[in-house]
Amino acid sequence: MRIDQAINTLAELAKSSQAEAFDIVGYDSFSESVEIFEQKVSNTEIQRSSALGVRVFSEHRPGIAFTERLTLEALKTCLGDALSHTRLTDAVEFTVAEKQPASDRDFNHLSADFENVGLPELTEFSKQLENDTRAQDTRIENVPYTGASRSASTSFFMNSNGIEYQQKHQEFSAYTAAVAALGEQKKMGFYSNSRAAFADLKPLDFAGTAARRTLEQLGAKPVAAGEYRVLFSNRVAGQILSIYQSAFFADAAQRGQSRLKGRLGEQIAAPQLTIRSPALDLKLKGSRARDAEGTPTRDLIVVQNGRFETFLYNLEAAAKDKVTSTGNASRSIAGKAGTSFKNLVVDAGTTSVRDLLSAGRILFIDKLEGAAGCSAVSGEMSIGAQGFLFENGERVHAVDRITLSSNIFDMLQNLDAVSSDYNDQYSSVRVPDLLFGKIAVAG
Amino acid sequence: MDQKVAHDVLSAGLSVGADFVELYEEETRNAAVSMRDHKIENATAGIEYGIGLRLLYGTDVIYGYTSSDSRDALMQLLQALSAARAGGGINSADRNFTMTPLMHAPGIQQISRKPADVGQAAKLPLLMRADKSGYAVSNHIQQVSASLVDSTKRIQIANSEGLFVSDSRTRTRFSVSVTAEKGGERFVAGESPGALKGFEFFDELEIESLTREAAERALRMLDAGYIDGKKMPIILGPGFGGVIFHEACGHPLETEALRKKATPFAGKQGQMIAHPSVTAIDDGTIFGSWGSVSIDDEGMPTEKTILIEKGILKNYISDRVGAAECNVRRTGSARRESYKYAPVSRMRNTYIAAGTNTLDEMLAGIDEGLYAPKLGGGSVNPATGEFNFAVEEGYRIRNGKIAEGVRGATLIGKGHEILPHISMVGSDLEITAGMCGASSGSVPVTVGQPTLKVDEMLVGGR
Repeated sequence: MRIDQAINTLAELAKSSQAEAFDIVGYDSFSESVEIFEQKVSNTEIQRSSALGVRVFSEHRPGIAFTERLTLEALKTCLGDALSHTRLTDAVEFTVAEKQPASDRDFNHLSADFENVGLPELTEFSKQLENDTRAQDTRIENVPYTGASRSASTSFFMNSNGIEYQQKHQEFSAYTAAVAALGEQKKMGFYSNSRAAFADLKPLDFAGTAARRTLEQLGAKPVAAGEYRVLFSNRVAGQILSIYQSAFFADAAQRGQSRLKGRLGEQIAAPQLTIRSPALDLKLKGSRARDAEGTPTRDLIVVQNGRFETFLYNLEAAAKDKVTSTGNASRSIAGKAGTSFKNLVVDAGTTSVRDLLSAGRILFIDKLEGAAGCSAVSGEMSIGAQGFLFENGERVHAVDRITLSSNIFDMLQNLDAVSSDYNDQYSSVRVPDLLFGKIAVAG
Repeated sequence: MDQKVAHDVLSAGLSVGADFVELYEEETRNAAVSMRDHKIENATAGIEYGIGLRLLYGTDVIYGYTSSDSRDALMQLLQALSAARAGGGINSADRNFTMTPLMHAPGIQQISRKPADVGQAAKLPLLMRADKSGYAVSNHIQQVSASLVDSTKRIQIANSEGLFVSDSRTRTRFSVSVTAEKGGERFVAGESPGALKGFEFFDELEIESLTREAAERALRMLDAGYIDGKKMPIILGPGFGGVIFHEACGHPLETEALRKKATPFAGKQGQMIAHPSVTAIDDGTIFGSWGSVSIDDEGMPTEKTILIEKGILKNYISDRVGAAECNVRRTGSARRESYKYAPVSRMRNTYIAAGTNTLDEMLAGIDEGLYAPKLGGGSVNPATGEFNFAVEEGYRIRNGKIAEGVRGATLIGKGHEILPHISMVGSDLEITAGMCGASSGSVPVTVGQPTLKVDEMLVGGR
């Protein structure tokens, strides 16, 4: 059966079971993608899937189950599994969301030309993109990864208090990577992006950015070990904050997994920093009227001028702190509800990147290499990076094979400036370039 | 999968011009229970189900999937896939084939207790043992979380060469994570053993010992200082240290990288690419091992593949498409997370073979270096070989002796440049379970090595 029918059927089954309360999440997704290598279509994929997950409460104990089979028999098994799990879990202090009004704005992110662009157009685009990337410079010896896709998804929510919510999302995406060599040194630059309108994906823009990122890094070398002022580009500043975002989640603090526990109202960062979780801005990719537990979302200021204003809550964490959920629940069909920024936005400053780079010796970081040495619990940061060394606004040389070591909570206090520029990604993360004081660099 | 329906779909695929057609049906039952801070926090279970259809035109791959095994649904999917192939056309040549009766893959695991029969409730006392033993280590243990996960995947593969084969894979995994806290400083350490076994794996597991090990490591690192970042000799401990070889050398040896010319090892078969002390293996046949498969996800029996023998590159890791495109032999290494992915060449149990050196021999002569018995995760760019790994547990080496602990260190380098610098290989081979993510999704693998000495590597610290 269709996913909407399956959700309704499961809801009816749950109502007639011993469950005190329940909520159901589901999705229906579709995508088509092509990958090109040396002007041949090396891979074509057509994907369509639906699935649902249910959370039931019995004697205040939660139980979760999920299924990708949407037959009546599978739905009964799924509900039976969830109910049986309520006999294993400990009692909790929360239940499903009460019915409350949410924003009536249209949060569907739809593409006007979604139905008019299919695999032939994606293939033609990708071939052009590969050609354009290769043609950027004679030093580009390989374009190993190029492709494009269109994807559509609908997320569903329903609970036993009568909340029903659906949201649709459609977009086009593309990517390309260029490899260039200088002697024994090889560098690969990558660029990807998404847009609601296919016409807004420009092969030459993708090719130019990927090629520039590759060629700029040729001849890169480490800098001498020491302490540097570091400017994280707006390409990577959002990645850095995303690694540590769980420090702002109430459930992490309640488990002792956040160093921000007990620091509400304190100055945790330099006054230049304001972090928001806007949920109702229609221009942002993560905006929606209700979160994954059906709670109405709202625009939040998490850090204002360096002062820590609020944790983000889902229903369980809110019940523990005896507050209301901020509408920041996230959830897959298979798991327990977690927490997320709906969008993670840092307010822009007033100084351009060019001006920020003009003040003395600055290490400009434009690529991060893995986050395994970063811990959101301790705040430790030890991460490989590539970028450029600048002296008074002049690029001295490209930099690679270095590691940056610090602690995010020290870094936030040592934030010198926030640039006026966001990157061009269609994303739920919007963070300008961030300039930090001394960070230890090894190379 | 109904054999008649499968045959008709495969035949129809050939008739629209495909050179090779394959169906992959999967039903996976997952079940997990997790505990945190003395409470059973979550219990979940579910079913994943779908059928993937792959058409090959030469080495061009067209792939799609559906959640229905009906003839109509599969024929509709075939129509959509063949329409995606511009100029594919009709193949009028005689492409008849005969499917074998359903064969079952040879056993590579022995299950004495099926998880579905045992039930989720049996996991509770095991989790409580982890919880109790973790907190008992020290008052500075601030959180213990643990989970027990099992999955049973049943697959059937049918292809236009007549293959019709089934396999069942039951995996079990225990994970424990312990946070130590002192004066506002926190450190998290964990253990996650897994096996291609049934519930008996949990029964036999030394849960208290594993949990204590994680807790004690977290406490040791809580008191550790930082290391000054620079190039220095490194000794990597056995087991998970093999993740560096996996990421920085294993992935670039997959034909999926080779076919994109995105590997520094292209054209190096038969050449000396590592120190003569290095022999590296990717083995799918280890009985009951987390990364083993009886047949790969194209239905080919798996094998033990010598990648590097005494420093010489012997074989790449290959699937059907990669083998054809790169003109190398197939190694039974086609893998995918689920029916949602087309299979590509992937590792299984990958390790550097045991040598003869002792830790004392490796330490001798190192005035200043780093001993890293336990690595965290990392990342690699296969096209350039650049890697970056975190050291979860590290110690300074000073004047040939293991000295005080250090935290926050990272290792940076290029895989193909490090291989010649592995100068000593120990005899204490261990392999460790993990999950590997790549273009065909996340698959269970093991990584392994004995203790290794690398003469020089860049260490990041502060």
